[in-house]
Amino acid sequence: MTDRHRTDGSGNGRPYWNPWLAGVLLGLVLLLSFIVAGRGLGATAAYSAVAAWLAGLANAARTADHPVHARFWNDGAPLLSWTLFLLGGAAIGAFISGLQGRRLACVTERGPAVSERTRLVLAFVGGILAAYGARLARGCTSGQALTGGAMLSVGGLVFMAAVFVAAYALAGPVRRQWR
Amino acid sequence: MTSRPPARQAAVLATALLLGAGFGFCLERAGFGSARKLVPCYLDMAVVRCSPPSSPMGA
Repeated sequence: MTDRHRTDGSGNGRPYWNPWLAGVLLGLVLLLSFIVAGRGLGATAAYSAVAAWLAGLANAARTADHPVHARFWNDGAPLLSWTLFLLGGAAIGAFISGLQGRRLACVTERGPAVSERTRLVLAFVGGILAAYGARLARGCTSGQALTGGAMLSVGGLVFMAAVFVAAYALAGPVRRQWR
Repeated sequence: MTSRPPARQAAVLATALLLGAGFGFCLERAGFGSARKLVPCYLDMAVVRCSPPSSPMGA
């Protein structure tokens, strides 16, 4: 917690991969997923599985027949979800990479003019917006842009373009939070 | 998924865990562990940098 205003994401860690190399290797992981499992990478369904599990704790019978939750109910075992395990693996892989790259740190990255509380509130609000958008689009950046884009899905490509347009449209106000 | 035999189900979920580990490793190594690297028009344009790599393992 000693380096809260650090100006780069790596701190004193080792350099990140070249973005081109990282992209190719990420694509190979995606290809491996298609070959081994017959499906791409995604993350949003993991949250839907947890939501179905929580709903099931309140009323299992109703959750099993619910128009939204039923898809993730998995015969009463929503936590045995492919995507949830994929997400758990992603956390493990990221931890190993951070450990190996000497980037592990308990830190809230924020601009010098923004308090830690403001940063966390903005991150929380952003997370809700992202989750809402992901459900509207029926997929998040991983499922739509990465997997959908790799399959040349029109929806995935439009999603990716919309992400970049929205990100750059909001870059001005967001930038002030970081400088 | 629960209709599968337990051993097969465990293998499927272990596969998901391993693929996820590769996914997370690549993302962190690309800089996705840092919000600063993802803010557009900020200090680091690694996400949209279009110059060809000078070194295969360079930063």
